[in-house]
Amino acid sequence: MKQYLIIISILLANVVCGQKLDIKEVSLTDTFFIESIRNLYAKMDQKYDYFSQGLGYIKVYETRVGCDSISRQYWANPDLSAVKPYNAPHYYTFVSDRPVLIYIKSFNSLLNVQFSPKSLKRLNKMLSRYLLPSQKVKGRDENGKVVIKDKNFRLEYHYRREGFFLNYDAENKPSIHPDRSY
Amino acid sequence: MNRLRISQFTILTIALSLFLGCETQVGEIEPATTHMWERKTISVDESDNLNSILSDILDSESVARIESEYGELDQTEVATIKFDSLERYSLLFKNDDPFIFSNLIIQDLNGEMTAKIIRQVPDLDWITSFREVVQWKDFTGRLEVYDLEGNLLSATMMINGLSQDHYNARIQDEVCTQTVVWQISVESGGNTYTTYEYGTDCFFTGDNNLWYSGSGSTTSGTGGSSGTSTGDSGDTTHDSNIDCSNMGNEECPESPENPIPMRTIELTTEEIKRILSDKPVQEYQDKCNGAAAIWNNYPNNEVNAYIAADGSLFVTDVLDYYGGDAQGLYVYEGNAYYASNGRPSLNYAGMIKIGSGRNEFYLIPVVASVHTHAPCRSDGSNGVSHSVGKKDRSRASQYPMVNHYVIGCGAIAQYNTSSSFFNVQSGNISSTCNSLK
Repeated sequence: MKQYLIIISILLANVVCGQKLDIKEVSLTDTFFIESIRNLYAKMDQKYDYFSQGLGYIKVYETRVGCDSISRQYWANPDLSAVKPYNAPHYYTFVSDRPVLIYIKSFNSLLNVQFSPKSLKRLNKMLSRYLLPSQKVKGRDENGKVVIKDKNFRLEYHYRREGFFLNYDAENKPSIHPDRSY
Repeated sequence: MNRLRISQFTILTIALSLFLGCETQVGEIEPATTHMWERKTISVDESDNLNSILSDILDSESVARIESEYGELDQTEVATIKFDSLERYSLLFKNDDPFIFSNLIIQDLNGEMTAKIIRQVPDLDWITSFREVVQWKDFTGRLEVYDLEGNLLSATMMINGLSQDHYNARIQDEVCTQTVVWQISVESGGNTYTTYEYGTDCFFTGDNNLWYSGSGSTTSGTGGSSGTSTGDSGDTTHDSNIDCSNMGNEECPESPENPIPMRTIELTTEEIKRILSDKPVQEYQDKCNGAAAIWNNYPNNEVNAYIAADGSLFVTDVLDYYGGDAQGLYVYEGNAYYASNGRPSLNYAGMIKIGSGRNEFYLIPVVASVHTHAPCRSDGSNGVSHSVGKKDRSRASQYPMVNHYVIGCGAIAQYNTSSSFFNVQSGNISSTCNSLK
């Protein structure tokens, strides 16, 4: 996670120069974090058919920065949906060869971050093997008129209360808490 | 009137048999009328008639197409029902959906053949209420009728085995009523349970034909009826819903150890939810009725629903507070749709159809999401005064083109990607529900 600070400054420079950011692959080094993600994948594989078939991925959001007794907090939650331009992650990585998308809150609060369409396309291409297959469809209204022509119709699923919160205290000690919020 | 008499006779016969166990029916039943009613299970190979009928109505290309849509046609055990000169055959499509039964129904009335495909899709709440043993005789869900080309001819809502209403322009005057009950075996957690598959009589009000009856899911299964008892009504039905006097050469099943052919299905709640979550589970023309229902009927669940563009409300998921999955929205050119796998019960304004057969989806235009915050019933809050949860903000960020609402305790509020609820409406749900739009 420490490497984010370095990357922030590089990206900050890019944005200031008016460039759109690329969604980049990073490596995680925090073993507690990696193990927590691995466990979440194992739970999902056991509980949900799509995950047991190797589909799905995990999103990680940075949710708190430097407040109260928690220095950092991350919320991890499984998902099975394509990434939209308005909901793109800042980074992605792999744990046990399965994708993890990372959203860093501090970026958005500092800057109106925009991602390059090319990198978003590249990310969705990578993700597509973890999503339900897309189909080419024509949609007709009640009069039989074609009103939708889409090469990428696919069903998507979201998961509620399956994730966890990962808190780091002031001494950087991690603790994990199942998501029971509402 | 003839049709009604036939139906009444069928019901009476079944009612009579409900009170008479097989052991008391060794002799021939003497019905009050001279109608002949016979029911048995055969294989296609055992019947000269059926083989030629099948090849008459379906060439190999049609069989391949239909099987690709509904599953492999089981020709080893065919439920047959003969009523005077009317003979019906019911063949099961074996598929991966344990609770969606599809059957090819062939009717032979004095040599005139009619064939249709019946699909039975249980209601999510009804099927999950059983947990392990499903009482099919009280079937609640959708009965769909397709022609052999895969076109939907009619769809009928059934509640407790009775037809409620009809949604189709091509067959407006069809009436379906649950009558016959079949035995079925369910495997769960290593145990085998015995329960019953419902049967249905469908009539046309414009002529005298009872054209469809019985579901006929008759694949051989394992285990008999060991395990948990099915309860009073089930036990009674087990022994009595078979006309033992007319079983041909087959022996009357005398005990649960010798049941009539059955289908073995694997039951997990998760699987049911997965299968059934792709179609609205409840639909309300009036959003206020819908909002009140999801709040009042599910005190311990998170209920997810959507407001359609025409103002109606439909429920898509009933989740517990220990996790669950929910189908997302389909977004096309900035508009959001819920993709219903199969025709929903209501005819939503602006609905768009894509695909066909099993891949048929109806896209319902959506303007708002609604879900309940039931834990406020015990935590003393109004359910919308805390910070907006991560899941809710995530949902709002994924679907910014629709409004997002929470129904809490005496309050309805809106949220987006920020941390606070807004547009908070306090009061009884009947007075605040109009803010859902």
